[in-house]
Amino acid sequence: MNRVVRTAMLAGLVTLSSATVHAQNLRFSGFGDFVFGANGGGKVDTAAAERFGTFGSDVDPVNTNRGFGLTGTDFVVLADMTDNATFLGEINLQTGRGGSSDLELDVERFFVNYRIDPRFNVQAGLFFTPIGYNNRFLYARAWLMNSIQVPDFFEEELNLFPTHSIGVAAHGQFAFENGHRIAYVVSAANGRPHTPDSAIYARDYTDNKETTGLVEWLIPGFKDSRLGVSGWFGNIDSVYVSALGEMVDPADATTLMLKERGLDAYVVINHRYFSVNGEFVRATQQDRTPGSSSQYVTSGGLVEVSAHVKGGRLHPYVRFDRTVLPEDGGPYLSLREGDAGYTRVYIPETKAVMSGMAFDINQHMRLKGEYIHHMSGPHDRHGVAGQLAFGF
Amino acid sequence: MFRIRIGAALAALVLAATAVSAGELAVIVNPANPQATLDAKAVKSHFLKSVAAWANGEKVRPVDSSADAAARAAFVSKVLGMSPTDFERYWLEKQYASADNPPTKAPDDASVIKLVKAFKGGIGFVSKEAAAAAGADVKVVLTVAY
Repeated sequence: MNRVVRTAMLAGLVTLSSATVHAQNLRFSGFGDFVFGANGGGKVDTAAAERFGTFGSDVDPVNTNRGFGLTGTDFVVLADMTDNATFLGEINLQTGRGGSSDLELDVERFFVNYRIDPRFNVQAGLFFTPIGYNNRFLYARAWLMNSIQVPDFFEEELNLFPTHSIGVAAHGQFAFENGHRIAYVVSAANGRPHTPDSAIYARDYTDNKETTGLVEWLIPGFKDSRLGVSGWFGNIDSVYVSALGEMVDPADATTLMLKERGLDAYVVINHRYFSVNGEFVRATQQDRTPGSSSQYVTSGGLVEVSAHVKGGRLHPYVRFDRTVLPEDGGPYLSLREGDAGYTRVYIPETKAVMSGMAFDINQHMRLKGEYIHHMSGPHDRHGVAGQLAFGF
Repeated sequence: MFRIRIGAALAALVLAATAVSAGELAVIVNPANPQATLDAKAVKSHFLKSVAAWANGEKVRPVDSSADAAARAAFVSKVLGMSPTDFERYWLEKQYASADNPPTKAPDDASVIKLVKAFKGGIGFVSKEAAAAAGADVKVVLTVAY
């Protein structure tokens, strides 16, 4: 192929690709953070700390800020393919915690949203499970949160409740007088995987489907306030491991069959000078093996009250977090799958209060300082952290 | 002498007040929009796409103008009730949460009028003079002094 032809082809390709990009209206954004933390005051529960040292899945419980770190950096690409269809892809880059410095790459979201009517729209792909408020809007987004702490009850690494789903969803809003709206989301998606931390992206090996529904009342104001309730149910097919640390070969494993039902209620009040964010979620996992009546209950929630002063740029806040788990995390939530087979790790409960200030340097950067006081589990009693969070 | 100083100070204040409220902006929609007028609350809910469609079912298409910084600041604070920081953060949050797109940006009043005229669901803000000059191409639903 001579140089003229190659140059012409290259020019054509560049022209074509730039035209295509232009027609799609590509948007690129993202967010991330940089955090420093220190802990002290001794362990709250020394027995729990020893248990975590032996059976924990990491050096520290999740969300422990020790030294310099990153909660996560996300890159978001949006492409308006037509006037009604938008693709959203969100990739999360996360450095390893504890003893690892591996870089982890996660697909957070990957879906196409098709807008038909404000009252009825369709979404297909990988999306945040339509449960509650914090999972859908604040999950791990340091730049949008006041606190530095990701709520344990919607921490993806623990997956105490389903945070992500792969499937289809319908969503919409009905408008009423004075700007009030009722929003809804219903979804059908792949069910929970064999272990809570192993998301299934390409195939549904258990054939179980998870269905979710959410209804939300949006109240206009300085920013929308929200009052909502959501729930889900699905079956879980997993394996039974009787004790922490026991290793079970998949070939010899006894099937653990659970039926999961969950309910979430939340209230978000946004006033010019203060906000309240309260959420409570509870799930039961019922053993559906014939003859068994075992049931495991998991619950969690948070309450955060914040003020908005100095022209709405400074946000002092106080937050209380709580998760209540079956013993050691229960037979499913503590399961992990490794090369040697299935095992169980110790998942501690959370009971902590945190207080601090978030300051908006500008519309893209938020600087935070926080004190956290743990009241249960293997954590250090006191922790302090500072964070620079950004979004663009 | 003292009286003269007070008089001069008052005159300066009156002049300053006149200068502060010298501008007036017009919120405009497409002429096909059935809404004859809108209050600030309704403009806010449509411009921020809290309400995503007009009464006639047309999709809301807000147009943000960077023609006049003072007019934009007045629109964001007086009509939307937000600070410029809140406004920027609002659209970034909305983009993350629902894949929704922010308002189309227009560099001048003429471009805002062109876009609002072209889209039946269009809504934007321009100077009152520009809206008057556009005649029947757009419909003024709210005026705001600043």
